[in-house]
Amino acid sequence: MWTLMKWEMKGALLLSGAPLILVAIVVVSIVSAATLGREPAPRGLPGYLVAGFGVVLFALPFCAAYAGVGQMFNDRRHGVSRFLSTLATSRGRIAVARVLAGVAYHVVVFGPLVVTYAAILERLEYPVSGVGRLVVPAFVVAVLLSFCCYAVGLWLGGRGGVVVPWFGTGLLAAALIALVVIKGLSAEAGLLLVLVTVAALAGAWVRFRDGAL
Amino acid sequence: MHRPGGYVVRVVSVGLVSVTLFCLAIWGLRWMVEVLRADNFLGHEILRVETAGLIPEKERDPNLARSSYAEVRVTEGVFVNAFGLVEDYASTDRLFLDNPVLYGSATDRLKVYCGPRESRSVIYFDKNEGLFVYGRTMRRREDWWGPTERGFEAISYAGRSGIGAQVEGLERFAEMPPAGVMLIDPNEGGRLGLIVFDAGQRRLLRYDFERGQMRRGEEMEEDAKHTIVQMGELWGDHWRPGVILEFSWIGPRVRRWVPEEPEPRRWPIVYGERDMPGQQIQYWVEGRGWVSPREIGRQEPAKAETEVSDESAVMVERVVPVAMETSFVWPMGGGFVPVLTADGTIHKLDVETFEFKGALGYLPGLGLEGIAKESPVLSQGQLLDYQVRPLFVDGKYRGILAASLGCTGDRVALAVFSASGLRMKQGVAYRNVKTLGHPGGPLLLACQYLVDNLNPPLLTLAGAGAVGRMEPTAGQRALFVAPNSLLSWWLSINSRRGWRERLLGIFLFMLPGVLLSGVLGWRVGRDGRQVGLSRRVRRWWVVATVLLGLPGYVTYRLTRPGVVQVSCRSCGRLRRPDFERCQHCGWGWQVAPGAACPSWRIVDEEVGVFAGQGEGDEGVERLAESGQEGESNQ
Repeated sequence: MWTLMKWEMKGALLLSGAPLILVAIVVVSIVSAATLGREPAPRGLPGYLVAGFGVVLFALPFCAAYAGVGQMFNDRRHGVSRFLSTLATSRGRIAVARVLAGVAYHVVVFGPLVVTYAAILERLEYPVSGVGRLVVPAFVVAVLLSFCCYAVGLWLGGRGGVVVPWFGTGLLAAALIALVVIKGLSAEAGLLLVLVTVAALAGAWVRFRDGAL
Repeated sequence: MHRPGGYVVRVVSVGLVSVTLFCLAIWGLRWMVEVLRADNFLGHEILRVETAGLIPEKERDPNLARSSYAEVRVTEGVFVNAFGLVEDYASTDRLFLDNPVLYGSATDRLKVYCGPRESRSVIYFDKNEGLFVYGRTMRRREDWWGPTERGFEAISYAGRSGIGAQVEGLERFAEMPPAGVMLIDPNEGGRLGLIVFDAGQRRLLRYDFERGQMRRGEEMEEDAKHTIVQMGELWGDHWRPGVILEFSWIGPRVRRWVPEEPEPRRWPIVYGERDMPGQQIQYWVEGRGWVSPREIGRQEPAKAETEVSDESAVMVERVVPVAMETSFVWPMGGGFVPVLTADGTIHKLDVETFEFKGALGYLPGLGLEGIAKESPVLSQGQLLDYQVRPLFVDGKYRGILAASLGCTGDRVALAVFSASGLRMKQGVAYRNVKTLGHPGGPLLLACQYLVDNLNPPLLTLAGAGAVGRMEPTAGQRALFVAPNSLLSWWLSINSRRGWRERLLGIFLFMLPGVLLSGVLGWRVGRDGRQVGLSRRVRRWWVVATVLLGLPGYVTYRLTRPGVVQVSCRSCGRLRRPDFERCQHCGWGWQVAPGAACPSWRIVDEEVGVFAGQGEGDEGVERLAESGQEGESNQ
């Protein structure tokens, strides 16, 4: 499975670079603002945490969506699945490895952000728990949103052509972000995102199972 | 080749995503039309009700220029409230306060209650623990901008079973119960206390944190009259009071001769703002200290009335406010807490005896004479927002002002209650009615009618059924079920009409949508026959398209089989090559015994298609049908 995952990750590697750079910039910015800068404003959350989360919520889903599209594009262009199917494996295992590669991508992208936010909120010593009240609910929805966009990227990226995979994915990612803006960081938004993720993964799986490699 | 389950999975996936996207788009369109219509309602239309009877002694002046009045305005916040992320940001931002004593708010949403400023005592509800936490903020250091109070020291915790220094052993609340802050023993300096209604036990609990005591009241009756839904400051459960309904009271004005000011008065410089518990936001104004927003830029009343006449000054007649001391906040040490019960009534709860000491008023109904007939009292769950403000003039309680905003955000009511709880005056404003009277209003209503009809008919019906059952703020953010459609509005104001009239109304409101869905369903049925879908599958598609409208049709178009059909060797009709068996006769690729299909056909555009032996009239009809399909496919 690890070998399969490595093959799948190669596809998304190029497009994973952009979000990793973005995450590095966000982490460095908020850490420097928290340690080197002036004390936070005397009320509310510091602006740099809010701005950083804005990047997380509005930019990273697009990156994840295009990582999914890139993965499928690379698969078609270089015949990764075609080659893998000659080995002792099945299409089901290839598809699982593809999704696991996406999970690994999200761990790498969101892990540093979650740790940074938790550490800074703990340092600021608010009366209420920063991790419990902010980091957990906010990042759960952010990760679900990003993974949903990734699944949509896999689904639409499996189609041939340029317009639907690239423009359609962007449009769907924007719509999913709008969904979170309307519903907020709530359980209802999380549930809808999970439903769309399952639908997109199922669609991607059927296309991969029934289509030519 | 066709694989089992693949088609269904594809249809469900595409269907779910297209319905979600479509509902998002409809939500955006509806929101946009609402905002455009709001221009006719918000800002320009302020609902104003005179309150002259509340302070008769102040208004008996023969020089009275204008009576006192209360006014309420629906702000643009009603549309911002539709975005959950905005509320999340605002409430979270204010939850993470460096200094809850200075900046804390007493709204239930924030769950932070503050004691007297000098005590630095704070009570908040910890959602994770299910307990109230009592503690003090700690002063840490002096910064360049002043003392910074940082950190919080928890002293004790309060649960359903009592108070303790540790969380262990305390019975937790499942969710934040209605609670009100008060001062215990105010004559002896006062201690911060909390009174809570435990809905599970149906008892009132009073916590004295400093003495570590909890007092439990008698079990209350299980009806709406005795179910407390809110205590203390009574307003809609939003991240900040006044975010949707802007409420104000303007005192009486009298004509007075005052010295003419040598130069026009300048607007004062505002240096900062603060948000004290249970009060409006106040601003620090040079030379005046903390004042309310209404007082900024207004001449001080006392100065206007007690002016010292200067013989040399030129006197002019001016309309000035009557000097009096007003307050819109319930006193913490007054011995009672106002409570709102589930039936919409506002009671005075004695914090010592735990008894209701008479009704103060109620949340006003939104019925407009001649248009709607509904209950004069509304419960909390029926309203998008509400606000109740007491009026204290010169330290004396004069009555309350209560405003309600309908769950669809289109009706607002304002009522004035006297000190004895009698309703003195009430006013109601309707947006839909007012929209018709404004230029461009009918066009906007027509736009909303069309947008509503683009919504899937099934979801429109579900939305109409959800009016009054869905929490109003959730209704604003609802993507699939829209309880704020015109149909919902019409049904809500005609709730007492007969079922025939209501059914006719539903039909008329949904007519374009139903017609559109019908046409789309017909197209899907015809196309399904052409692409070789079986009768059963076609029926499912037609039903789904009629119920879901455009998203159903889009789903069909995106998932319809794109195969070129071939003639079945058994029945002669066009069959799908990706199926193992013919979808018409059920035979595989082998010819069925005795069912050899003629290899010839006669095609006549006027008469149809004829086939050879053994088929009879039925066979001719079937082949005619297949022939037409074949032509269409070509």
